[in-house]
This record gives sequence, structure tokens and C-alpha cells, in this order.
Amino acid sequence: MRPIALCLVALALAAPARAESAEELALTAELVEIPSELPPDDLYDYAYVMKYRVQGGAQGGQTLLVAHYKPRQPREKIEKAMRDRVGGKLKRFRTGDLHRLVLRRDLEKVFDGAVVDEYFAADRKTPRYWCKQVDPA
Amino acid sequence: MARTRTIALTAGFLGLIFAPPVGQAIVELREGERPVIAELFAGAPAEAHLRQLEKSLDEASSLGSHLRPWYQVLKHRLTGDLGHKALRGREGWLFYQPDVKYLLEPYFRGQGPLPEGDPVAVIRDFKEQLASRGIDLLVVPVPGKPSVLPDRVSAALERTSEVNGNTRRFLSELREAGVETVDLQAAFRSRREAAGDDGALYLRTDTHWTGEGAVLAARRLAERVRRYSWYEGAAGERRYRTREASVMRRGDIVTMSGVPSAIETIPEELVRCRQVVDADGGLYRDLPESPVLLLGDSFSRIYQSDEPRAAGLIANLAYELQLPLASIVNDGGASTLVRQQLARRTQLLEGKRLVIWAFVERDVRFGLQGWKPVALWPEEPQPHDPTPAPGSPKLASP
Repeated sequence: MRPIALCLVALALAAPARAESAEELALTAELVEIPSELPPDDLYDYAYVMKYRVQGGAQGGQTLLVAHYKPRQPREKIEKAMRDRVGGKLKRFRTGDLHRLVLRRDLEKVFDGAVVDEYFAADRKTPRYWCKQVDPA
Repeated sequence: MARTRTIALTAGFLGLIFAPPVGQAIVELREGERPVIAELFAGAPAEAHLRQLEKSLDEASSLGSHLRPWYQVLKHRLTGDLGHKALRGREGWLFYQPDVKYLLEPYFRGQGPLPEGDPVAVIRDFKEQLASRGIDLLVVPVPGKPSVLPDRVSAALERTSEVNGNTRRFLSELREAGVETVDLQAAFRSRREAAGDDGALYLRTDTHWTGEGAVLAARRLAERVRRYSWYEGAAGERRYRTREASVMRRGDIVTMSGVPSAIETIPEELVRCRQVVDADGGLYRDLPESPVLLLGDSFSRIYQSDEPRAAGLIANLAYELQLPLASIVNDGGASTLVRQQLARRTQLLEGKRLVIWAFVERDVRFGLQGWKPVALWPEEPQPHDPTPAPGSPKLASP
């Protein structure tokens, strides 16, 4: 009886973890491309899609497209209203830098504002991730 | 003595030049970051690279970010200046520089290549894609504040001054290309003439219209929509009513100036709105299955998803038509981004009879991401290539 109870407890504890991993993933990646000059953000808030290459792990070498909210701003200066969706300590985005990322798969649910996506015309199929947290690696 | 003074002056001069970048590099290294100045050696010393580096240094500068607010406050207190994005008009009216620039600059065509794309060609292509599925398109350029209130920008302009030649020409080219349009400018100018003052159509310190401006635009749009043959069958029973709602709003021109003393001293504005509610008293809500889809920008967002909610262009158009709408609103992105958003959700076009595309007139020139062609159904052959021949003004009707 006791092993069954322990299994049930373990399953109950594991369920939320699976739900979280279905929504989010954490990895280290190199920022390989910022495809154009970042547009001004003083009148409009927008997210901007950048290209990353995953470092290490099972996904090592894979290319990812990641939307960063207001990338002209240091992450710690993002307005309060967005802090539950955007965080980290990164100050600026530069190609060649390594970032520790926490990404969400459901970009459209997280953010319904303007997404500047220079890759749209050439590639609609690759998923776009929302960056929830980014730190220098 | 003279030699000592020369050495001191030279050292001081060199210190002034080198202290900021060296100090900045030290700050960045202490924070575990690669110094921005290192980018100098990351590429060939071409003009584009050096300009980009200059910009990066400016944006990254800790000294600059600490001193800038103080400088802005000092400048604002001494001269009333609100930075390069804001223009101080008469009698407390503030204007957004790109709104004024759009009116002053020559028409986009005839000035050489169009790196941002040709809006007329792109709109015609969008219309043809929709038409292939039996959906009509109605294009609505929203007049910016200086278009309707030119005499509030400068004493050199009369209240009747015709300043929106660019939009008139744009509308004319669209009609020539077979695109249906609604001209809000005429309705706004008439209202202003009738009211005898500002017409209460725009906010004094914000880029957007008032609640009354949104209602007037909704009425003018509804007049056109009611003439579509399918409308009678779609409207059905009366389902919405309205009530008064008001909201205090801080002007976005003040906020975007970033000048702390302006934000503290320029008061918020009281805006009276017409809020739309359903038969149960609940706030108006979109219906994705509606036969009408509205694509819009911040003029469609204000009072709608912003406070007081359900009191913007979308809800008021739904009230005028007594028909719920579907909508996609993209702040600042109504030239290209809103169509990309639609292309990701083309299922929203199922059962649609009409797409209304409303964007502020300055986006004809300055829309975020310009005017890029967007294929709604890329797997299907496109009606035609929307890229015009360079410099070609020819727009054959479909």
C-alpha cells in the first residue's frame, strides 16, 4: 500500500513540473543575428524577433527565433506592468553574446502587441518564442 | 610655467575626450559585460559600422543616462522644450513631430526609390487577395491632429488651411487603383467648422482623438458599411446601447518626451466617452465570427482596450451597426505588422464579408516596418507582384 501511495504523491508532484516544461524552456544560446536596426520604442511598445543558436544540451546547434520585448531597454528597466512577462539582468543585445534564456512557447498568448519579425516573409513555420528572462551567460 | 600650463591643458583636453569611454569600459567590465567600444574592432572601419558604433556608445553611456534627465529638465524649464519628438503648438496644444513632418514633406512618390515599400501597391495587392475569397476591403486613413487643427500648430496657419494634400493624393491614388476608401478628414473638418472652436475632436497633449472623435469616425464609417448589400441580413436585432463614461488621461506626447518636469506639471485631461454595453449591461465584446473584421492601430485601441474600455472606435462602430465586430489592433504597426498578424490567423477571415483597415495618415510615410507585401495564403498563387517598378507612378485598376 505504502509504495502505491508514494507513487501517487510522486505523480502529483511531477504533474505541475510537466505543465511548466510544456510552456517554458530554459537554455543557453548565442545571439547570432539582430536582423535590422531596432526601431524606436518611445511611442510604441513592441517585441522584436532575433535569431539564436543553442549551445550544448540535446538541442545544441539548433536555431531559435526569439521575441524580446523592447530590446532597446535594459531588462531591469522594463515597466512594472510587463515585469511578470519580461525579466533578467541583460543590459543590451549584441550579436555574438551568450545568453541564458527562459523562453515561452505561447508568444501570442503572452503578448498581443506589435511583433517586429524580419523573418516573417522567408520563414513562417519556425516557431517564435517569447523571452521571459534573459541573463548574460 | 607656460610649459606646465600647456601640459595641464593638453592633459585636461585628452581627459575630457577619453574619460567617458574609458570610464564606460570600466563600468561595463565591472558588470561582467563586453565593453561596447570593443565593437570598434569587430568590423571593417566602414561608415555604416562606425555610425552603428556611435549609436551603441550613445545608448550604452552610463554618464549620458545619468546626465540626460537633468539636462532635459533644465532645457524644459528654460525654454519649454519637450525634446525632438514633441512640438509645442499654441494655447497649450502639443503635437507629435512625425504627424507634422508627414504634412510638410513632399508626397512619397516621385522622390526616388521607395525603400519602405509602396503603400498603394501593397494595399491593392491586399484588396485582391481578400477579393479572391469574396471579401471587400475598406481603407480608412485617420487624420492626425495637425491635419484638422493646423491653426493650433502655428499662428501662420488658418483654421481652414489645407495642409493634408498628401493624404488627399493618397486617397485619390487608392480610388484610382480600385480600392474603396472612407475620407474622415472631410467629416472632421466639417465638425470643427460647425462647432466653431476645436470641435473637441483631439486631445490637447496626446496624439489621439477624444471619445467624441472616435464616435464621429464610427458614424462616418457606419454610413458606408450600411450600404453593402449583405448588411441588412447581418445586422439583426438591436443588441447594444450606450452610456456615458469618462477617464483621466495623461497625454502620450508628454510621456514620450521623458522630461520629468513636464510629466509633473502638464495636467492629465478629462475625456468623456460613449461606452457601449450589451442588453445585459456587459461591456461590448468582439465576436471573431462577425462578418466584419477591423484592422487598426492605437486609434482603434484608445478607450477600447484602454480605460474606460468598450468606448473606442470598435465598440462605437459596432453600436452604430448594431453588429459585433472582429478586430486585430496593432499599435503603430497598422502598415505591415497587423497584416502579418492576420496572416498568422487567417482562420479569422472565414465567413468575413468586409475588412476595414484603419491607420493614422502619417503611417503612409512612417509606419513601423514600412509597407511590406504580405501573402495571406502563401501556398496559393498571388494575384500579382505588389512591388512596383522603381519610380513608377502607374497604377492600373484591376
